[in-house]
Amino acid sequence: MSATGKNETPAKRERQLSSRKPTARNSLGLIFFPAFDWAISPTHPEREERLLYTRDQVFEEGLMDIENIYEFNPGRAGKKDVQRVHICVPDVEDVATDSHLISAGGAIRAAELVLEKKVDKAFAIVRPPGHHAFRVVHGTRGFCNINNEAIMVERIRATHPKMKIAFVDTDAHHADGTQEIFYHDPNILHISLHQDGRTLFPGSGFTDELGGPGAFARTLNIPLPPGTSDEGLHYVLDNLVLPVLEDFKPELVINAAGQDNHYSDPLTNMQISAQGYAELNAKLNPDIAILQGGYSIESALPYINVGLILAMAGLDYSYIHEPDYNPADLKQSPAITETIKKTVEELQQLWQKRSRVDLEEFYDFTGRFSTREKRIYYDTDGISELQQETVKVCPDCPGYLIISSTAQHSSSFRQNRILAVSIPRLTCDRCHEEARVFFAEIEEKEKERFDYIYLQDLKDDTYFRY
Amino acid sequence: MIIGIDVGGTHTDGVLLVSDLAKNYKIARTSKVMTDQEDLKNSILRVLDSLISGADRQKIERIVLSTTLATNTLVEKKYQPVGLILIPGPGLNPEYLQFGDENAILSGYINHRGQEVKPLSGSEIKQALKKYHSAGISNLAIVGKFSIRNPSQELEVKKYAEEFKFQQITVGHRLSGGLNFPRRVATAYFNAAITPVHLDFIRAIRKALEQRKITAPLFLLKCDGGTIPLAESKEKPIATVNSGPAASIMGTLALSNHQDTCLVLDIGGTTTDIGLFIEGVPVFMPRGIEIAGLPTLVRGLYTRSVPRGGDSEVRVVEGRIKVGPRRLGPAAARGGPAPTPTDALLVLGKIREKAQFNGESVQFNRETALKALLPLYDKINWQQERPGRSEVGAHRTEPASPREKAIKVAEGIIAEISARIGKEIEDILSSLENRPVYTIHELLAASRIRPRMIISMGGPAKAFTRELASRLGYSEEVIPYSGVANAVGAACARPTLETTVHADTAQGYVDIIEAGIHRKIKPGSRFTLEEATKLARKWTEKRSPFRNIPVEITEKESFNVIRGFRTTGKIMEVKAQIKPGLLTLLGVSQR
Ligand SMILES: [Zn+2]
Ligand SMILES: [Zn+2]
Repeated sequence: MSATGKNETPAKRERQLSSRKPTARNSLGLIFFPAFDWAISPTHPEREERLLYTRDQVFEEGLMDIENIYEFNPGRAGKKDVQRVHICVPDVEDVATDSHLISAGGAIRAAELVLEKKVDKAFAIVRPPGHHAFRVVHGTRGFCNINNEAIMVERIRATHPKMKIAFVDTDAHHADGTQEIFYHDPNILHISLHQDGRTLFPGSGFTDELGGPGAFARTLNIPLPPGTSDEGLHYVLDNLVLPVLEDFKPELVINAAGQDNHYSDPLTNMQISAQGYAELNAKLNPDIAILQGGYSIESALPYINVGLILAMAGLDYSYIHEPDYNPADLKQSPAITETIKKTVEELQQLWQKRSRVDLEEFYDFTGRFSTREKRIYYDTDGISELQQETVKVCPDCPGYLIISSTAQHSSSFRQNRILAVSIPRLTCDRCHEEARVFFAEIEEKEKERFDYIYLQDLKDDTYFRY
Repeated sequence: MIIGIDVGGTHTDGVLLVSDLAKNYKIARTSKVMTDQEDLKNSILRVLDSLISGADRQKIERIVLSTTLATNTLVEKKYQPVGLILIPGPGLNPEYLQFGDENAILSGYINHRGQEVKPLSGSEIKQALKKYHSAGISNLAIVGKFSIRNPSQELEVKKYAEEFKFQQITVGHRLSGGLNFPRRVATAYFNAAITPVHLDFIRAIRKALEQRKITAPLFLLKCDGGTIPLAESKEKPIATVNSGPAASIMGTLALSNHQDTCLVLDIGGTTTDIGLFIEGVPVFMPRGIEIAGLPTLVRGLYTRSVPRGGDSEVRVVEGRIKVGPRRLGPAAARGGPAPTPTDALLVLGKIREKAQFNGESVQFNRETALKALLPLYDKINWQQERPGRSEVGAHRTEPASPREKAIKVAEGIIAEISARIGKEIEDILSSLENRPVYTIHELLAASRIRPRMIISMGGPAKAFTRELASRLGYSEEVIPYSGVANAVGAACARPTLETTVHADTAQGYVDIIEAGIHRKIKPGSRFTLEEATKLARKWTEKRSPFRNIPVEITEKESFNVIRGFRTTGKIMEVKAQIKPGLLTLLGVSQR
């Protein structure tokens, strides 16, 4: 046998080998499910290739071996999980395939891991995304069919009905679907940071969208000018998002972690870097993160996702950067800085006086019902939907919703007219009774006028279609 | 004739297999000596000499060795210093990867597509090499992130190192086709560490065989249960680490030859190693085995070691029975200092006082065992001690006589062990069933792994196996020749090989990773998944030392690379392997 290294004591070697192994400060559950066998269509941004390079980077970095990082498969959301959130036209099976149910199942798994205290935090890197899916689903919209995060929240609330939950959606597109689903829900704070809707799909998410009369200022939108960089993003975070969260005191913080505001994203015009993302995550300190969009699949996603995983795990992310990263190229103009400051100031003031706002004045309603009209365009499937949503305003509870919706399919001249009554879990007994009586009446009288009539009763956990 | 020799921690065993005309082999001779850890070669030769004395050396078809050389060298850290050169690029802080006795971090880098983003700096390389020279380091490990997608930077550093006359150089991309930079670094470090010792060993063995006029090819057993020709082991000696447990699993396969899903228990003095066959094929450790606490890319058979063995010390801690992890000596019934599970089996009448283990006769004293267990009775809090599924523990009447008390203690000990092993088995199965998958197809197809049988080796394990199997609800089989099962495993195992073909037609490159090939795809040629598959198959067959061993394709993926709504190429990966299995079958009478 050869001579041994003479200067080396075994103790020293031991130290060198094992002590360097990194350990995550926060235990982290990763649900990494790239769905390598699924695409919306072969050349669609939501195609098999989307998370290929992310997989390569995450695996090559050996993140799954890090002490305290654990990998899990997604589950598969059940029909009832979907029904608690969505009114699927005509039915769940028609809009949600295995791929959608598994993506939602990934979000559910993340929540289970955190709530059962198996891990401190969880990150679901799943596709397709969900945040453009509204309560009523006629088809695919913004690459989303069903709203993964909303489905996750309703699963959580099946056992924790009164939990206060905050969403911070950092995708470049306005999280219009999630916003709408929880628009009248006082226990959900939904904050969306996105590229200004005047310059990008879906064209909404302005500062005056503030939630329904029963949930005023539980919806906040921060439209950011095209060209916003890390500096602007962090200005919003430091001066608005974090203080608001401080006041709201959520029991659970969810980051809808879209990655399409990266400077290299082909679909948007933002200037965020992997470092900016990782630092945002570290400051926000979410319990759960769920991937949304992000289509710079080769130059951005691998680095952003590694950065997010490290940030969530409480590990050093300072060595992550894109191959072409150059902070000097990514400076935002003074005009952008000014615009962002103004938006933040407006929302700061609004947040301060949120409890003193005259709601009847603000929402322009009298009596017990408040109505909104919505035009919703399904870019992916080419469907135009016209919707009328009436909410019962009750001093004791979140009320209930009456929704009528007509969807025009551009491809087939097909038209679907539906009517739905949606009753939240925490609706008071009086409103619940009233809603059920109302449903019985329309079921009798209106069935000729509509293709389908739905009851979505979370309080009873029952769901019907006629 | 085939010779298999297994160097174990205490014994070195050997078998000589001889075939009849129908090519059915049988064990003709066995041999056993104490292992001299300071001179493994000598232990091997003593066994070899005893096996071949009087035999016709020309008729030896092959000799297969399973040694603890690599394992011992690493565990006892008896190796020369290693200089590590890392090319990490952006990502995780590379600080914690500095396993080397000297470390250098270079500033070049390759990205996930195998594109060189930043070239190496020659002066940085020279500076590092000079530093290692003056530190008296002759072993180098050069490892780059994504080097399996493009080995050019590792090779460039290697060229410099050769000019600087470094003796042994390990490059990361030759070690495995798998992604995982930290594992690649650890694997390269360990590989560099054991290379000099391994080369010395090979030289010494070669010389010894020449002296004995043995010309038969020599193989080493790897920890994936396959063999590798001696000459080929030089580049990647790390593959021979931890071959003992692999020998044991392959021995079990050779001696039982089950084609179904079963658990393999190797019950030793201080530990019980659990292995698994799924439909007759041994299962691999996901991603690679751990060495000295560090995950590596070394492919190895799945084994999990539970600190419970026949000689484990039994104590009572805070009212509860605690078995292991220490061994203070043999069973009390054989003059040892502490009660052990073996004593429990004696007290329960599951082992006789005069027993035959591995051809050795052993004398136990049941009264001593009883006396050793009895004092534990009063220390045990019987309220919280779960009775398990034992019939004695279940009835509530207070035992009266010392004998009854000792029996109750013995029941408690066996219940503790079977509960612990049962838990580990459940854990292994659930981790395999829930192993991460990345396609909808695989997720929906996931199936349960339900072994029905425990196979184990004879000796004292026999009584244990019977107890564990009946308590955990498995059928059991105890195989013969357990004393030399590892040597049989080495003798019968076939070579294993893996080939990873990674093609990126948009970049115009194909890598045949394990063969060290990184080449341009001919422009204009349409490289398809079928072609990649053919290459993977061809290179596996080409590198195999035996013909006619089936090659299987284990992974296949293909992605269209779309840029701007146009397909610009494909990224494909195909893995082929020769899986662990038997090259030589024992005649039915031997099983
Ligand atoms: Zn988006
Ligand atoms: Zn009410």
